[in-house]
Amino acid sequence: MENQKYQDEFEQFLHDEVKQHRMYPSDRVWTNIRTELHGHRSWPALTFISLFIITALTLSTVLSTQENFHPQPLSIPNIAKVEQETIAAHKAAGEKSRHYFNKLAPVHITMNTIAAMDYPAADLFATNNSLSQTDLTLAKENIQQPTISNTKNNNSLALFPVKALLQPLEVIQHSEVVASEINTAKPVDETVSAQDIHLLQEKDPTADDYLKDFSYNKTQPLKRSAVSKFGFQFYITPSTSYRRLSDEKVKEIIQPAVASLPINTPLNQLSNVNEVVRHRPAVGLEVGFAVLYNISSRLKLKTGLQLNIRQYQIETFQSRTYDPTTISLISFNGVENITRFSPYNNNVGYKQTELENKVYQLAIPIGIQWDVIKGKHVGINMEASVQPTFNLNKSVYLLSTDYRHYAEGNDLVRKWNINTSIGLNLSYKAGKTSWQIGPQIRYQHLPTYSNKYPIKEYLMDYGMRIGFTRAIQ
Amino acid sequence: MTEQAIIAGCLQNDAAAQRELYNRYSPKMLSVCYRFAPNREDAEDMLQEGFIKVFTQIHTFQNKGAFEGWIRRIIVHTCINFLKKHKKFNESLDISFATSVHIKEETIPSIMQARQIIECIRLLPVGYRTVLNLYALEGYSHKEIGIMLDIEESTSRSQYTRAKAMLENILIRKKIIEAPKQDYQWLAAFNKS
Repeated sequence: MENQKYQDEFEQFLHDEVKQHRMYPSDRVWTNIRTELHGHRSWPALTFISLFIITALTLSTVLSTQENFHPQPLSIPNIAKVEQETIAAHKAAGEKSRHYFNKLAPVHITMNTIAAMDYPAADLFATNNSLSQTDLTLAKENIQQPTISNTKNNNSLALFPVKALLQPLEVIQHSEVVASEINTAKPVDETVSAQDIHLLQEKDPTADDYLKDFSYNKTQPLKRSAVSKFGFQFYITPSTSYRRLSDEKVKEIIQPAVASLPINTPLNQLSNVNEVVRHRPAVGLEVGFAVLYNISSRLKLKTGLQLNIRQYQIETFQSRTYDPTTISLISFNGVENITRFSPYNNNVGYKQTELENKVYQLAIPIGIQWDVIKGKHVGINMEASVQPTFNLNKSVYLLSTDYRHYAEGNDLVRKWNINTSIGLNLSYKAGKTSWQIGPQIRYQHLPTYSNKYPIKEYLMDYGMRIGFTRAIQ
Repeated sequence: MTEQAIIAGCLQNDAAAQRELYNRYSPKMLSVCYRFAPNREDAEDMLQEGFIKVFTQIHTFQNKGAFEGWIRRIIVHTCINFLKKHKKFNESLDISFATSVHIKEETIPSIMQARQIIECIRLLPVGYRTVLNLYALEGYSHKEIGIMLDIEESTSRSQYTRAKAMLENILIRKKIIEAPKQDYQWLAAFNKS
C-alpha cells in the first residue's frame, strides 16, 4: 500500500511539475500553418518590385530616346534636304563639266580623243544614273567605296563623293556635314590631256585613282568614343537578419571550469542555446555604391563602400528589479566571471518585452560580377563579394552564461568582422544605364562578440537588392 | 477575445482568430510534443501538423468538455501518428533494448525544475517515454494506449512500470526526488508483525 501510495505520488508529482511547462515555437510553425490554411500571403514587396520595374523601364525608355535624338535618323525631311543639296551641287558640277564636254565635241575630236573613249572608267559612268533616292539607299547600306556618277540631264561626267554621304549617315550627327562635304567636292574641270590618256592606257585606273587625280580627300570617319571600362553602381538592399548561436565553448570550457565554484555559476545546459532564446528578425538595410571595372565583356571587378544596418528583436521578460547576472569570459588566465545587473529575464517577469539588437556597420565590399546571360536589354548576373566590416555605434544585449538574463554587451562587440555576400540579379539595360534587382544572402563569418564571450553569434541576412549601374565615360 | 469568440472565428476560417488560438495554446502544446519527440524540430513539426488538424476539424468540437482538452487529444494523437509514420516509435519499442540503456550522469539536465523533469523524461527510450507520457501525464488508460500504439495492454503496463523505474532512478540520481526508504519500511512492517 505504501508503495502504491508512493507510485501515485510520483505520478502526481510528475503531472504537477510538467503541466505548467511551456515552450515557445519558432515563427516558421505559424507561417507554415497559415500557408497550409490560407495559401501564401500576398507579398507586398511584389507590388513594389513590379512598380519599380515598370517605372525603371519607362524612365529608361524615355532617357534612351532622348540620348538617341542627336544622331538624326534618316527621316524623310532629312532625305529631302540632302537630296536638294546634292542636286544643287550636282548642277553646279555639271556647269563646269560642260567645258569638258565641249572639248569632246566633234570639232575637237582627234585620234587621242577617240583613244580616250576606250577609257574603262567610262563603264563606271555609263551604268550610273542620277544621284537620287538610289544613292541614298546605297548610303543606308553603308557602301564604303566612292561612287562616280553622271547626270542624265547633261550627259556630262560628274564626280560625287558619295562617301561623304555614306559614312556620315552612320556616324555623323548632323546632315549639314554632308552638305559641306558635297560643297567642297571638286567637279571635273580638267581637260583630258594626251598624257592622261597615255597613263590611262598603261593602267586601268580605279575609282580611287580617279578621285586622287582630282585632289579629292577621303573623308576621315569620325571616331566613336571609346567604350569605358568603368561603371558606377548605387544599390539599396532591404534585408532581414537571422542569427545562429553556438554554445560549444560554454559546455566545453565554462561549465567544467566553474562547476566547483561556490557562486551562481552557469548551470549544466543540456539543451541547445538556440532552444532557450526567442528572437524575431527585423528589417535592416544595406546601402552603398560601387565602382565596377570591366575585366572582360562579362566579368567585372567591383569595390565600393557600404553601410549596413542589421537588427533583430529578442523576446524576453522584464522584471521589476535589476538582478545580478553572471557573464563568464574566456581569458588567458582561464575563466573570468563578471557580474552585471539586468532587468531582463529570459524566463520570468512582470511583463513581456522585446529588446532590439541593432548594429551599424561600414563595409568595403570587394567582389566580382559575372553576366550569366547577357541580352541586348535584359540579362542575369551573379555577384559575390568579401566585405571587411567595421562596427560603428551599436546597441546590443547579450545572453548571460546561465541563459537566464540579457545584459548590455556593447563593450564585447567585435570591432572588425568579415562578411561574404552572394546574389543573383535580373538586369535591364537601357543606354548607359542598367537597372538590377535580385535576392542576396550575406553571412557574417566571425561571431558578433569577441572571442572572450563563449556564446558565439553568427548573423545571416536575406535581402532583395535593387540597384542601378551607369557606365562612366 | 473569449474562447467562444475564438472558436466562432475559427469556424469561419478567420486568420486572426486562428492566430489568437494558436498564440494561446501553442506554448503548452509544444511542451506536450517535445515530451514525445526526439528533438525540437520534430516537436515543432508535430505541433504544426496538430494545429492544422485542429483548425480543419474544429467543426467537430461539440462544446462537451474543455476546449484545451480537445486540442490536447488531437495533438497527442498527432504525436503518436508522427512517431509511427517516421518509424521512430516501432524501432525502439523493444524493452530489452531500453533496459540496457546507460545514462551518464553528466547528460542529466539541470535547468529548471519542470524543464529538468521533461529533459529527464526525454532521456528514456522512445517506447518507454511514449507510454509514460500517455499514462502518467496525459491520463490515458493502458487499454487505450494499447489501441493507440497497436500493442497489448499488458505490454503497455510492463513498459510503463519499467519506464517509471528508470525515470525514478534518473530523478533520484539528479536529486530531484528522494529515494524511498525501503529498508525502514521493511523494518517497520517486520516490527508490526
